[in-house]
Amino acid sequence: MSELIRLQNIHKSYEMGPDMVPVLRGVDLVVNEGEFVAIMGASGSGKSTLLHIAGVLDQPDEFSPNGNGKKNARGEVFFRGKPVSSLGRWGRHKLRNHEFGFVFQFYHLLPELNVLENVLLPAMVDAPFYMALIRARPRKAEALALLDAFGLSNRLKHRPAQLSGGERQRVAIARALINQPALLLADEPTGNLDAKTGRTILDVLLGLHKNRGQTMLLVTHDPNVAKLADRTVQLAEGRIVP
Amino acid sequence: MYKLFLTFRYLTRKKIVIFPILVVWLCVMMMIIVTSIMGGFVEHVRQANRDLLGDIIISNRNPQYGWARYEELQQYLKQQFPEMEAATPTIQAFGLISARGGTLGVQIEGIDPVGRAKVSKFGDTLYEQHIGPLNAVEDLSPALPATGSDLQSYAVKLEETARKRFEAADAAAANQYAIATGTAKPTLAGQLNLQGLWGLVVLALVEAWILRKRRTGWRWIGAGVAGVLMLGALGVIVAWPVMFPRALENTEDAASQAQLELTRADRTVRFAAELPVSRRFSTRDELAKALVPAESSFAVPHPDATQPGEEPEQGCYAGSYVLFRRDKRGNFDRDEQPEHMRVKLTVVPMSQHGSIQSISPSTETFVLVDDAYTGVYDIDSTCVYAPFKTIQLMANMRNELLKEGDPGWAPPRCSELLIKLKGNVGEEELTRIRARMEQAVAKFQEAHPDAYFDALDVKTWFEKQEKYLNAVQNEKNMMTFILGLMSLVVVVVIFLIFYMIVRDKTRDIGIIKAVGGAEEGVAGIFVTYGAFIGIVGGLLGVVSGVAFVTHTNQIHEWIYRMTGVVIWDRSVYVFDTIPDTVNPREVALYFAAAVIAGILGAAIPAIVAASQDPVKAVRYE
Repeated sequence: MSELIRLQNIHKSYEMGPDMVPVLRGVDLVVNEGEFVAIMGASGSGKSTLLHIAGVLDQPDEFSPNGNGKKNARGEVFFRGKPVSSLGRWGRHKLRNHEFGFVFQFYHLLPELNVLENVLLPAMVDAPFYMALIRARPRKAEALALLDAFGLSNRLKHRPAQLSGGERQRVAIARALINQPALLLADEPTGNLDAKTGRTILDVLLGLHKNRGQTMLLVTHDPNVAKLADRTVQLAEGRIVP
Repeated sequence: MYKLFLTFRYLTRKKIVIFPILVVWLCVMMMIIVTSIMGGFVEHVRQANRDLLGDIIISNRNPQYGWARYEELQQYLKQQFPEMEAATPTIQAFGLISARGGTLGVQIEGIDPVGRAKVSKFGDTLYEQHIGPLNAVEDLSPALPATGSDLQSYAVKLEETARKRFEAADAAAANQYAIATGTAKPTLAGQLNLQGLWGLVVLALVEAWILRKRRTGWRWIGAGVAGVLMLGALGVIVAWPVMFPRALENTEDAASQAQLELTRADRTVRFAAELPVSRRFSTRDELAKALVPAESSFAVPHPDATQPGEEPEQGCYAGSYVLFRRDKRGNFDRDEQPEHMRVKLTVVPMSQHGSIQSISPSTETFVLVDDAYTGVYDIDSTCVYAPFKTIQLMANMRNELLKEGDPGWAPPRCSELLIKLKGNVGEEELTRIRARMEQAVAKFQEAHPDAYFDALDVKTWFEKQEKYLNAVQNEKNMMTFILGLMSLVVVVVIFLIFYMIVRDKTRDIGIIKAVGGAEEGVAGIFVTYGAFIGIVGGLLGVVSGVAFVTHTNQIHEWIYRMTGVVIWDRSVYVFDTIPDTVNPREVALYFAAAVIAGILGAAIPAIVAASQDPVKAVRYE
């Protein structure tokens, strides 16, 4: 298995009033292609922060080693061996759009869009301007196939407010998959669901991993969820517990 | 693509968007209405001045004393300027008009009506000699082609119809008066002022439309009908005190309008009687040629007005406001005044140094043969026009007892020389010709030192009226500026609403960024959203503003009929109708300003949205 993403010596702190509170203190993590890695840890251990940095949604801390204003990152993310920091702003947007798919705990669907439109949102981000004018929906067939596979083909025109929690999360997963990302990043995907619905969502994710070989990095505090992964990484006090 | 898509979704799904659209709409509409009416006023004043003065005016700084050698100057300029079409001298003198037991200070103008008509459209302003006959042409033209005899019988029929209408309107007014004084009972239709009721029906239909969303199938129709009945009943109760007293005024007003129409029909009969019986008239132009005098004149139309053995009386014109009163609807009371009224004109001559002590005023009786309505109130309320030669004598600008060469003889004088150039000369070209003419006049002055020139001014029509025209234009500019400042509120409203939307959409912004949306894209959503608000509000403003301006007179009439309020009082303003022309350039400018205001208002919230940290945004509660 080749290396898909590597996080190297990642440091991250947040401002809390006048103080800087360190959240990640030199984390190293490698996720190989086709691997399902679960990150576990207590609340505040830095799981979600690590996921956001892995998904290029956030960046590691920066520091100025010579005090001359020129900043270096404290840590680096490598995607398919290439440092993400070498990519420009547009490169990072493209990477998020093409290579990563996010699934959040609270689904984060756009309330003004219906199910189909929510799923198509990442595809629309990359679609040319004129397609909106001709009201074309890019990759509609793929979106329909995904929604069909997730049992949502009868909910295409429904808005998020008209769906149950499990349905919303399935829509969010379909949205994350529409651009066929290399890495699916899931932040407590079952954290807001009851046990039965949560299990359904996990089945969906496991199915993706097993049937399509989808690489996944999943954050959870639930050991039952974590044990479904190929590998579990434990985070404590901003470090990976060996 | 998602930018347009999300913009469209936010536009159609967010109700708060109605408010900035409404504000943009009202502002654009207000700007179009106010600037169109003000612009129409400015254009009217400019046109009226141009029509009245010709292209170039030569005058001195003491017009009441005047300047001489004007005929020679006229000839000289004619030779020097092939582009000159016609010129006419005029005299301006201080004076008094006495009529119907009253005396009024006026400016008396000595003019040659034929010459004046060649340099300006003064002839078109005369009621009896131009407007009246044109009204008759308009009334008779539906019968064309026809012989003179046919037109005469057609005019009689028109008069009969007008008389019947007047009698009916008069009877209705009398009946309404009887109802108002309690001596007659109102009819049901009269009680339910039908026009007012139509407004209520429209309101009720709107109410039904709103209710339709809450009901299904036939039930909303039932709800609508109930709404009609409820609102109708409410409307009658509420509107009764307003509508019913208006019924009397409306019928009285209709009766006086019918009377005016009858008077016009009577005049048409009179004009038709002048047509040769057997001649066939095919077109309007032929009819106009037969009815409208080719040249205006001061001649008194009825020779029998002259007493036997006396010199024929001289005619004069007065500005329409000098002797006639104008009602709120814009009608002058010409027909209530005696025909061919005799007036006394007193001219106060002035010395070369501006003194009036050494020269006695001169008074003569004239017959008022016409009135001039130029549309410029300052002129129509102060000017009286009389034959040039007579006023020249009265103003001591010519001595008819002395001949050239006699001791004490001086060349006759005028106040102004009005010049018309060939074709329709633009303002820039006119300014160039004026400059050349100024040099020519200076040369002529050097050659004629006896002509009492004290620096002749050569001015274009717009330079002559510069102060007045600038004042009117500045008034318009000031109004536009103030309204423009007020319209800045649009930007503030859009900013506030967009700021609220951005706060509300913080999490969505995080999601968009998480799926790969760039900062520019997120900002683009809100800027496009703002532009859409500008476009939609601007379009609504343009459509409603233009519709309002082009129907402003009908709306004004409707308000008058419903409430009796005359917003545009014609006894104060010089217009017969409210200006209702729209300047397409201004409309385009306001539309563009609306779109820019939408973009500007959305710009800062868009930047705020774009600069949001996606991690914080997705965690935003």
